[in-house]
Amino acid sequence: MAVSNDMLTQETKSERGSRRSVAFLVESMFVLALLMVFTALFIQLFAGAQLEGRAAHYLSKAVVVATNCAEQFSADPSSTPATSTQDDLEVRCDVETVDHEGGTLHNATITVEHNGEVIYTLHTARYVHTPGGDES
Amino acid sequence: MRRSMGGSNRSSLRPGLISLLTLVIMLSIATAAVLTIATSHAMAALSQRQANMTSEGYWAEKSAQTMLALVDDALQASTSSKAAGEVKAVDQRMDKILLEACEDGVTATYKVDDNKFTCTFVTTGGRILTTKISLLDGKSYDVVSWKLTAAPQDEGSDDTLWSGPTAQE
Repeated sequence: MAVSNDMLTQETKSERGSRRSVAFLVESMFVLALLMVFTALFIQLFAGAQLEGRAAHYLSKAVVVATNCAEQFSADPSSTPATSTQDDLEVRCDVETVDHEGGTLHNATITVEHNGEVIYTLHTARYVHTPGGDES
Repeated sequence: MRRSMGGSNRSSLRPGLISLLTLVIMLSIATAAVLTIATSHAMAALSQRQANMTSEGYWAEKSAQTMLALVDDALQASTSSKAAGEVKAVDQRMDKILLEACEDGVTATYKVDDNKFTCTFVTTGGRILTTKISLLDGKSYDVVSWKLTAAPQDEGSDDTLWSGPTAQE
């Protein structure tokens, strides 16, 4: 009778251990699946945020670079370089002149590009009065 | 989940340590992700606003420079070489000049005071360029002031934080 009881106890223990290992396996699988889903989601979110942050950073830089170019143009419209590079940004300044009776109006379109992609465009103008009429 | 088979017949499910740890880590990363996205959105909005304001400032600048060219044209076309006659000639053409000079999204008004023309260019985003030109004898002019400002955002508020040094005296 005692032998039979021992055998029963051992069987119950073994069954309990088996159930525990199955529960652990299920839990591990569940956690792993959750981990994968969330990791994929977070990678997408962080990548999107990084792209947006980088675009904003380049836009800020482009505004500063374009403003510098516009001020240079305003100081001397005729000597502004057509293209230049500042901080990995290519700056293009297209100047169009319109003659007036009293001087010349210089219209400039300043375009800032990064790797061939236009980031920012600025339009400005500068009128240069010519004493004694239009001599330009 | 860990399945507990305690002394009683009742079975209960409770999360294991690894599950709890994973949950805490995931919540932390989720919080960090939300903060990162909010920051990047704010940065993008700020950069875009800065870009728009700069563009608008230069649109007003372009309109004013064109106005200056057209005023000079009117001066050169004027039959009088005295300031009074020039003011009259320019004043007659000023509405047309401003209409021609203003770029899209820029509106302009002017007023004449003696021989000085004060032109105000306002952009849709609230940039204001105020220029003052003084007409001189001999079909010439002088730019007295050229000031770019931003329109106050909250005009309805009566909360005056500071009225300048003159108000304190």
